Amino acid sequence: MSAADIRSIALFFYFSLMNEKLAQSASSKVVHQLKIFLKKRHDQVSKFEMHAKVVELTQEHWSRFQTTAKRQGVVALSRSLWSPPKQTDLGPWRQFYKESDSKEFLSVIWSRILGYEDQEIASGLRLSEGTVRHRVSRGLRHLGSMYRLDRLDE
Amino acid sequence: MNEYVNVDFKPIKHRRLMTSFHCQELLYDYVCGRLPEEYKDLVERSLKEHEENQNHLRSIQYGIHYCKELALTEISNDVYDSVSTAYGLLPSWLDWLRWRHWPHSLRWSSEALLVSLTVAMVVTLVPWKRMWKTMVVSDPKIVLSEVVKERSQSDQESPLDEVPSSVASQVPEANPSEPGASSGPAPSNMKGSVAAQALVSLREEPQSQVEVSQERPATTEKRKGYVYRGFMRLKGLEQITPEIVRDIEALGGEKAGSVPLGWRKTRGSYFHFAMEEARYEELLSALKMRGEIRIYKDDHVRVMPEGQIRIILWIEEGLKTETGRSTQPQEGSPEVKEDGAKGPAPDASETSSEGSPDSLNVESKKESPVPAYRDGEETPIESEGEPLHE
Repeated sequence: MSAADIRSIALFFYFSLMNEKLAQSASSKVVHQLKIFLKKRHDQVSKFEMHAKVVELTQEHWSRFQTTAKRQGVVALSRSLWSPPKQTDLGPWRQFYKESDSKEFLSVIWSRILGYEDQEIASGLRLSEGTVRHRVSRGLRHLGSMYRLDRLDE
Repeated sequence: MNEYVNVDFKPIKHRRLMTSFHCQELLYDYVCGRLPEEYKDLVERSLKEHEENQNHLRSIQYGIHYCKELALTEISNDVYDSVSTAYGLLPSWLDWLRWRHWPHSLRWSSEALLVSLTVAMVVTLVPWKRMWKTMVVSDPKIVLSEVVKERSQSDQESPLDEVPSSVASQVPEANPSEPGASSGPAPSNMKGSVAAQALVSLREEPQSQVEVSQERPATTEKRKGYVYRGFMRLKGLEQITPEIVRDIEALGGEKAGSVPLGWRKTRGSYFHFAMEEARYEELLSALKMRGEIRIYKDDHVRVMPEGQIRIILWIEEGLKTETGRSTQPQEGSPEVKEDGAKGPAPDASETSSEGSPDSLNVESKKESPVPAYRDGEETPIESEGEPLHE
């Protein structure tokens, strides 16, 4: 398992849960399960299979943690642990997190933030590629509208 | 993001305008550069025509740009180390115990199991019967004491030490003018003797009262009522009926119903009368002389005075049958109207010397027979000592 995979997993939970503690806990569990998966396959896993497995595991653990995250609400994230670009405002993202559909929201993270292919996402979720693309399109449209509104306020 | 021509897009055979909805769905692929040329032209044309689609296109572009910025987020080494370190056994066990982290199916099934077990335990362990008994108040009344109202001998006798005023008034006052009367003890002696007489009479009175009271229960005992029901079948009723009326009246019989004695019906004559019980045998012998008679004693609500009996006699026109069946007065007949009591059918084993049984049987079947038995019994009241007269 490469550092990029660990980073992807951490970023996924950082943006999907908006809670540092929960994000670390969930990330460590996914990494642990991924290690077990790799051990079973004797580390002979292609990039496609790895990404699909990451999508599968992250989706599974997110559904378990998201109720706790919603109950706790959006927690202020410290920039010391997670450092987005300096001029990037997380406001639109928080709004997108509250208002959007969970399926579109997660699809945007996998596709546009983690950079996974639509086929890899579809394989991990056991869906068709068109469905994934549709969800990403709608998610981006929603996120873009949030971002534009935020920009107009400036 | 790879930009490639997606083979899923079918070639357009005929150029046509793209709908706004179709254009919106293809905008993401358009931005990513995945559309074939043909589709691209159509999308661009649609974008020119529909301003809404242009807004959607800009939103998608902004979203992609924003996500690119977020993708540059860095994580610290601390986070990296905490995530990548080995997940210990204890944390995994603790995590396994965290119910909220269980899968949804496991959580729901465990909740359902817990609820069902709780309900089952409550139903089986709680003493419902005891609770029900305490909750249900069967009788709000509370019995403090029971008083038996039976009169005893001592209660019936009036107290002897108390002289009733009626007796006391009868006691003559001692006359001092009478010879031998002394003021002191003499009057008291006289009074004492009179008082003794009064007491004696008083004692007698209670006894008579007791006797009367003892007699009263006998008279006030509820007596059962009964009626004698008789059946005959004779020829020439036109002539016989007045004769029978005379016989009954000679024996002291008086009509007991609303119709006169010997009331003629289409099929017979009806006699409802009361007479002295002592002359019952005489009546029977008089009727036997005319023909065969069957008579039964039935319970009835109407109670006759002491020494009086009530008889309902139905004499049917026609030949006597072997079965001895007599017809029942039809609906609306006085017997039914007055008494309103019907009983079971007569005994089919009775036979008579004359008559064609078949025809009369048929007739009797049409009209249901007169009650002749006590309820539940098929034989007449012979066994109980009541006479069955033929």
